[in-house]
Amino acid sequence: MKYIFIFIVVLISSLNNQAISQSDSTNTARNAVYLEAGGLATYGSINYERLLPLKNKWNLALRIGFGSYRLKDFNDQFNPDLIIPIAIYGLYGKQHKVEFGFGQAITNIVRANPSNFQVERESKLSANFTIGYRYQNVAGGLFIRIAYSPIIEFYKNYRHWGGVSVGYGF
Amino acid sequence: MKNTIGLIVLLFLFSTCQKKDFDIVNLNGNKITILGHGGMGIANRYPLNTFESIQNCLSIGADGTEIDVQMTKDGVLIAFHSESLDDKTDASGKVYTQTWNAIEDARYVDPIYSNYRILSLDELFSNLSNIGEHTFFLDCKNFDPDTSLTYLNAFSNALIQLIDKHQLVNNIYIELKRRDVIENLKNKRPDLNIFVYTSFDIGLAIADELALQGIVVAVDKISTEEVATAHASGIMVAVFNAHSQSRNIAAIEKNVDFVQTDKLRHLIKMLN
Repeated sequence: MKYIFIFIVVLISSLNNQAISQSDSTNTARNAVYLEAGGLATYGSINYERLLPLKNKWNLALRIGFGSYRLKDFNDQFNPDLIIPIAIYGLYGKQHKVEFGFGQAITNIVRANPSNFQVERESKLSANFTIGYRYQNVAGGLFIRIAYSPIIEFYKNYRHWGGVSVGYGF
Repeated sequence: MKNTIGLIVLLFLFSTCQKKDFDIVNLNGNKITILGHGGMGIANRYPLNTFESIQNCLSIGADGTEIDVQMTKDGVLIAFHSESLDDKTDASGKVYTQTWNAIEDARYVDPIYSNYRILSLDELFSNLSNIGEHTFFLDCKNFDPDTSLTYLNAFSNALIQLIDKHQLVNNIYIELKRRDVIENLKNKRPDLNIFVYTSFDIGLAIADELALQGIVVAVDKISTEEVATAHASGIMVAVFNAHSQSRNIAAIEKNVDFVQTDKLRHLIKMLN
């Protein structure tokens, strides 16, 4: 009788834990917008992220953003530099999450052509990796993250880098 | 209360942006020549001395720019500030130990994702627009410890050839620190505008002795009275280290002839 009681308590407790875990992974707020200082666009970016719940405390996050160094070119004409960071992150945790992931930055930067010194746009790809921490409430609201996110510039130069983000989940 | 705070903020913004009237008296036709420091200045996202930075400086209305000048091992004058290429680029070694061929593809490492490259002065003057309408202060960095006549002649000849090729005798001011370089260049071409870069007292003495056009001093290391003293001797004054709005205003109030500024847009707004 004693063992049956213990078994029932453990079973109920385990089911209860599972239910909590499942509700953790099914975030009610699956979208977030945030500003990142530093980070994948180097000086700053505005970003949108979509959360995809997995099992237990695991989530996947897909990110796309936009940043720029300047809006005018060196002839003072409107001709913005474009930096588009995209990334995929694995997240583990409830409100306090550990994140890790990788991505690309698509850059289209204005410069002087090395031969004729006229304005030209140059497109390149760079890789990035991320490991960080974030606070993201399942119900939405304040979103904060800090991350070490080294950049492999043009797939050639390893650059230590990092960023801090503040945003809103909904 | 809200309205009062708003009014205070507006008044503050207005006072910081306000153009002042200055009564300038100097040897430059009572006008201050506005020069960017290495183009758009040290805090700009274009690296100093790049084509992008210099062209941007001219396109927003500066009278001209200061450019750091060094000579490669094979006698090519390039626009670069630091002694070593490791400091800002993906190349390595001291400029004077490298040939132009070895470094012409070097790129600045910052900002990330950019691809701005090192520039020779010949490339610069061949491709800048309307060079005849602008003033260029060539801040010559003679880091090479060589004091031989061969080196001095090579450096002077490279400068002279560049200036003559682009017909810039009246547009270029040469800023030199080493006395041997000054004397060599002055002997070859007395018509060039040469400024000595050192402290005020020493600079004034050298400029007076060698009949130079002027001196270059940090804006915070020279007083209004010292500028007046130099002007009384017929010697012009150029200042650098104008890296804040208050230093721009201090430079103007000192009646200097040329300001090399890192706050270019502010100085243009103040003087135009």
